[in-house]
Amino acid sequence: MVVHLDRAEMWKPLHLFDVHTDTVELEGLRALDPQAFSAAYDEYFPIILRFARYRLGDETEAEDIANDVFTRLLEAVRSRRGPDTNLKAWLLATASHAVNDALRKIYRRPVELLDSDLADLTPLPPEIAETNERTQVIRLALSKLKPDLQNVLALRFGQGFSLEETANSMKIKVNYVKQLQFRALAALHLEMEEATNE
Amino acid sequence: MNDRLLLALEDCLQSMQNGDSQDAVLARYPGHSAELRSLLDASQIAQGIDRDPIPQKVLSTGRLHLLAQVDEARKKRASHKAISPLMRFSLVTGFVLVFLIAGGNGLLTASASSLPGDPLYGIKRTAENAHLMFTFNPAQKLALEDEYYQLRINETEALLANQRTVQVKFSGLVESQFADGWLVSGIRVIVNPQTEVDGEITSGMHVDVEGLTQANGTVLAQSIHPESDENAGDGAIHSPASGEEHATETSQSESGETPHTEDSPTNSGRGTSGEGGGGETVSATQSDNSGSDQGSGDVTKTPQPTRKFEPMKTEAPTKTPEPSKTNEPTRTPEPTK
Repeated sequence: MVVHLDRAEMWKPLHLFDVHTDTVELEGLRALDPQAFSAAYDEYFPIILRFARYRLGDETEAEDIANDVFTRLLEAVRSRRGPDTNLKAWLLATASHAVNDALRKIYRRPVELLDSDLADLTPLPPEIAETNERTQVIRLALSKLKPDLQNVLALRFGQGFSLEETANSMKIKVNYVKQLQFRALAALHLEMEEATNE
Repeated sequence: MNDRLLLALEDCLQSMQNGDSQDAVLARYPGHSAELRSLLDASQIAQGIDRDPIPQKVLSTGRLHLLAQVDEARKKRASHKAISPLMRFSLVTGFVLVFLIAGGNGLLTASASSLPGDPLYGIKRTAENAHLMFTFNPAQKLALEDEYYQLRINETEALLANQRTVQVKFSGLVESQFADGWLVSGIRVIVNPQTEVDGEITSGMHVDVEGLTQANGTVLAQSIHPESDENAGDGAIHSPASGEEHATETSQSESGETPHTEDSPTNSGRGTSGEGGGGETVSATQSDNSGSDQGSGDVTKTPQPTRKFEPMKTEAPTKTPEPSKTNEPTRTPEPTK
């Protein structure tokens, strides 16, 4: 069974962050209330997982990071270092740091080529091959953007967050989100053009 | 960055989300259509980067894992909370007190036999000062001061016996004089040109000595001067104010009485020196009795007879014989006129 995300639902008018609800949530988390953790997980785990997957392009690694973010949340509230008001922003910021760390490790990791004798060298169907190639180009172009530009794309176009939601999640002003969004799209377009020309 | 362009981009994105076509929204901004088109193309790419749904299995597995961690954390917190804050505070305080008492007693015991220059000597002196500070009975305080006074001398003797070279400070009685120094309470004190000698030092005088013990069994004095009240805190006996002493001596000389004399100023400890009457050493506790002696003249009015040995008075008669007073009657025969 899979959770289908309706695009229209994703782009519905934003609901501003409810500070009161967040405070109640955080009090439950600090009390180590299993229901509070369960509710927070249901509400935010998909967001964190999708955010990590958007930036990494690796399902397994994204799952590990999303689970790790909630383990960190538990440790933080236990030692009273957790979020004060904005739980979603705290989770996304933690996820962003984890993704940046993971990407650094990936870039440092040497590429190991397997023995060609063991590989299936049968060519893929043209459509699939073309799709895969385009996906790789897009991923490469995205990976070349700065982390804050990747984040704004992940939230605005991956999660479908509104400008205000994105601003709230990144703890920045709406006008700055607009600027980041503009720069991110321009940079992505440029990278895509360069990749296509190559 | 052009604000109008930012607004136009946002407007185009919103309109396309609401179902408008790209061409239709671009038609609203003919001056920026080329730039906006590239941005809208990029936004389409960005939206298509991750459209996969999230498997339910991932969600349920992750939730179970998290709730197991929460349960474990709750158990840990519950075991921690089993000890109430008050009980925890009491336990910690108790441990600290036991440690301090046990450790403090051990330190005091260990420091009791320490000598100047030893690591624990400071603790010993601090304990002595604290003991003095919290002794409020004047008689007990004087007895304690006597004890510490003698202890300083004993320590210096022990250092000399061990041929150790250490800075010492003690008070004692000048018993005799040598060519190069004095014998102070049985300790030979050597002076050199660098020694600060305050005033005239004579036998029988109480002096404060500060110097260095030497391997030859002597103390090389850095300073030697008649004892003052300032050294009371060093375990020296509190002596009456010097002003009172002068007052006593003055009254004695003015009255023409023979000063108090001592045959042998060999007592090294002031506490044992019974000059002026042994009972007067605790005069502070016998103030009622002193009042009954007021009829005996100025000398007896001295509120607290000095406990300090006063050898200077032994020499006074030779300096101030004043025999003329006894000869006055010889002047009286005036009948010749």
